[in-house]
Amino acid sequence: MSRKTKWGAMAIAIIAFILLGSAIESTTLTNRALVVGLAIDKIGEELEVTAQILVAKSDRDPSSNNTVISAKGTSISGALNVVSQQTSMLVALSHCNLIILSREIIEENAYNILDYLIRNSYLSENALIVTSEGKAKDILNTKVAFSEMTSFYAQRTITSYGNYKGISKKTVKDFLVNFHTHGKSNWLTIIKPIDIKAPPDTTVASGAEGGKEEQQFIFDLTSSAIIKGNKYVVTTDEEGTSGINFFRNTIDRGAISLIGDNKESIELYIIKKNNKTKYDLDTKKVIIEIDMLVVLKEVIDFRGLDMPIDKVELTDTEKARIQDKVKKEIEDVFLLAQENDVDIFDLYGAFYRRYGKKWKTVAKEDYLNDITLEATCKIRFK
Amino acid sequence: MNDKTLYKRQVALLIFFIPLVFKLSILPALLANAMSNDAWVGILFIVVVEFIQLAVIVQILNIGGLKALKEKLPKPVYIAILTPLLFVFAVKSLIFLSEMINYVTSYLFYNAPSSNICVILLIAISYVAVKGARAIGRLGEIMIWLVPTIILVGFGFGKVELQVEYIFPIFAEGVAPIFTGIDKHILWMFDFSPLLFFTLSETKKKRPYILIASILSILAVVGTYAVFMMNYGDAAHLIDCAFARLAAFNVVSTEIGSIDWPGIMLWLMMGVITLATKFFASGEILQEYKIKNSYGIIAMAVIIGGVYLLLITNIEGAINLATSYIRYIVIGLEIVIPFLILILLYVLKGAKKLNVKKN
Repeated sequence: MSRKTKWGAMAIAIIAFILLGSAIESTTLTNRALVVGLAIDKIGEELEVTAQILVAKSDRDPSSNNTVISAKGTSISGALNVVSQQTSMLVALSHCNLIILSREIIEENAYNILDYLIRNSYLSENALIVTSEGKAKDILNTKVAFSEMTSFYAQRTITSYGNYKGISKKTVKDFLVNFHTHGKSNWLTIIKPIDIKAPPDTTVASGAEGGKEEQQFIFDLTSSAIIKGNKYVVTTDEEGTSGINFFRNTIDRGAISLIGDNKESIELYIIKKNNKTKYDLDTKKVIIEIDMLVVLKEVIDFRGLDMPIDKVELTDTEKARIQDKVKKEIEDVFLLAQENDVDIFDLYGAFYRRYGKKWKTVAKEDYLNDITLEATCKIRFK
Repeated sequence: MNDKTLYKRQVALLIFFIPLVFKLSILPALLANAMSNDAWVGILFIVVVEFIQLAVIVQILNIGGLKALKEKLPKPVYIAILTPLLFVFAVKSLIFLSEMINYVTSYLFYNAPSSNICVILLIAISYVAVKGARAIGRLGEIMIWLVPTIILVGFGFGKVELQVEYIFPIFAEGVAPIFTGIDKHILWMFDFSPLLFFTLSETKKKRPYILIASILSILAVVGTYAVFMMNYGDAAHLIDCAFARLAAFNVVSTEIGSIDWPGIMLWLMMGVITLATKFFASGEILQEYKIKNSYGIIAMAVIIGGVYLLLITNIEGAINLATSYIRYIVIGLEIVIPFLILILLYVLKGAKKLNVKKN
């Protein structure tokens, strides 16, 4: 190839790269509406999508403001287009790590609504999904105590303390995977704002409208909404969430409290936990054995006795009480799920993975009612 | 070193990359759909069989390659043997190019028009192919460093959230779904024939690069499928662009954003290298028809681009083509021709020896 031809070909290639590449949307940072949290509500036949948006002050100034904006549409992408028009910026979901679905959404259409987000390659499949008791939009508008942004605070709390015994973590990917199990069972963390300046035990179900300056909120994330297929079924409390986490072996640390034989307040901390699960096809019995390594963290003895913590040992009855507590948490949440016909632990899949076709021949349509679950817990001290 | 010669280590890198690229994009979802959780067993079977084709090709290269065949056969016969491979390379390039376009337009820039991406990719692929073996080999050597980078980034920032039990039970539904799946997606197999058109540089040191690369490649492909199944369970059939998804390492972090960029870069470049080998090989065949190598490559790019834009248009079209009866012709040729070349080389070598003895 002559030098002229080479340079000619190179020039054509470069021009083609530039011309064709310019068709790919490249928007500067200042013209992007970086969504960090998304809330989806249902208003009549329409969806209301609320986005918490990070706005860069300028290309040179990396600091940012955030704003919350809502738009209605018959689809999520339609509503997001409206947000783009209203903000005059291109909505970008690449940094969105929190999706809040309102109770109304998960009542009937949990998976259908998520389908667009699941298939949207720009949204990370590791984005967290939670649900709210009231409007999802109000959660994003809540003024939280420990962050400028609600989304970051919720994301940080769930990521750091998700699977911390009483909080569970669910990502878009987890939701998708669980939806495609035989029982199509799922559960989502319920996000509840609590006003920390209000008297204790005040839970504000619908968040702080307008975010009054004197109010500051934290989130209670301990209860979970159990879903089957597209539909919400029932809510569990902290013990139920803990039972789910214990069974699914997702707890890697967490605290356990108990009252001692002499009314002491005792605090234990889980260091390590292992599960061993046995599935018996003939009896359709599931036995889960939990082995926990814990450290005795604190004992408050109100009798005023001098009891240095390194010299204290729990009595057998106290140990049994902890073991019973864990056992009860698992068995109770299983019974709750069984009553509501939700295979929360994917036991159909667990039996199938062990027994293959044999399981399919013995499993009836209401197989969950035939299954019994027994939990045992062994505690070892460090 | 002329523009066809590759060092053994460069061939080894190609052997590592070739099975890895297009078996780790849309194929995992297709196999999961056909074989359910047995997809990882199915791919193990596929890659092991595929390496039989590689063994034949490496043997051909070791005993002189196409150069030796060309010397021993009348030119029309030589051309007749190689020409069907043009069809093989064209069909496979068309399907694999569609996968790359789909990857860019659905995973990276979903507002980008596929026609533009098609042309941009074809320019890059053709450029590497025109530059020849040296560029292909060198690119492989550069890109391989992304593999440890991905592993380090994964260990550093990623989280392992695998459900090992998702890969079980094995053969619960018998072996029929595995063979049905292999039959339907056989076009994604036996990709080593472009290596026939390179020559191996002679070195005194005999290092088992090719053997090591083959073993690592099998482990990498099967391992990635197993991890894919452990990640997505029964939802695996919905996940296209498997490699890029896995390279995100389950990270939920706004601060560092996504960590899948080394995976994206590696996959795209591996795709360019793999297609460049097919374009290069097509250019070599067309050269036998007195068409200059570079013009042959450009003609190939224009034809493939034209067919994609006018007939195939999207990934669904490509999958329909790949799973149509055309797959049997493509794979049949891809298996038969290397075997035929090997047999001819041995027969002609034997005949030559006999002639020498008679004389």
